[in-house]
Amino acid sequence: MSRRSNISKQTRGTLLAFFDKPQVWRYGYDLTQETGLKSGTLYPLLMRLHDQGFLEAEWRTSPQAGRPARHVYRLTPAGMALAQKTATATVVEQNKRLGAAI
Amino acid sequence: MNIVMERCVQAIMATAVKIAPPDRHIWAQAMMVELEHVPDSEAVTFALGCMGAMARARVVTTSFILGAAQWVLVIGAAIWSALNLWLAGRLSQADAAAPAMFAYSGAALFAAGSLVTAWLGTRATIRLAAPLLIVAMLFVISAEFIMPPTPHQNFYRALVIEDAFMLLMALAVAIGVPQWVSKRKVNVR
Repeated sequence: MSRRSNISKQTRGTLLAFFDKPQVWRYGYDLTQETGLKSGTLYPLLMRLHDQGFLEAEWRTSPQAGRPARHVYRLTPAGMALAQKTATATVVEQNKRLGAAI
Repeated sequence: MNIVMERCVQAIMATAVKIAPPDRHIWAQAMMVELEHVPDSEAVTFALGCMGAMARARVVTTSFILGAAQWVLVIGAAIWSALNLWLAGRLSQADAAAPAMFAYSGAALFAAGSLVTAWLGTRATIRLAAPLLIVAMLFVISAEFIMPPTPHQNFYRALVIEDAFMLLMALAVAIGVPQWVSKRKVNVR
């Protein structure tokens, strides 16, 4: 049985970044820009999501001849379900805060 | 990026790849390739982050944790042996021959424990420490019944209690750490 994921703030942000464009394969550096996370935070998070079966990774051949292939990432169906759940929970939390502010 | 900075970044990434545990080599390679697409102004930060990520991945591996536990036991036993030796030396200077021999024996036992653990691992620690702990506890309980009355009886008992405590700590590490590591592996699967 895989370990339940730890939904830290950083994990949540990464899942939501993937959820935004679920079918698109993402590069590591692009994810650091989207999430605002540094490589030292992002990559352990990606490794953990991959270990837990929420993320798939593959090597994508570079369009430029002679350049090495790059690693790309995308959510698995299980990852999509988790991201969906996270997105819903985030919206609920935001509505609660808004309600409390009003 | 100037040549010095470039070499620095390459050295950091090479270190990251070198320290990556076997099951993370692909990720280390991925980071190395990704670095080529990072702007020069962010390259150092990116590379340092990658090295940090691989260092963390290395530290949480089973082999590293078990190795660290083994070396804690080796060094701990060596330090305790040295302390016993120092005490024995002081007792010798004070012409307390019998207590000195007692302390020398303790020093020898812990030195042997340190060497055996370094050579054979934590299972050897358990095989050595467990019977010694039982003997030590029996001594503490029954010293006044089995030993002829001596002015140093309480001192011997105190030394044995200290040694028994250290043996208990050693057993806790030698047994507890592998068990904890096994539980971690079950949870991850």
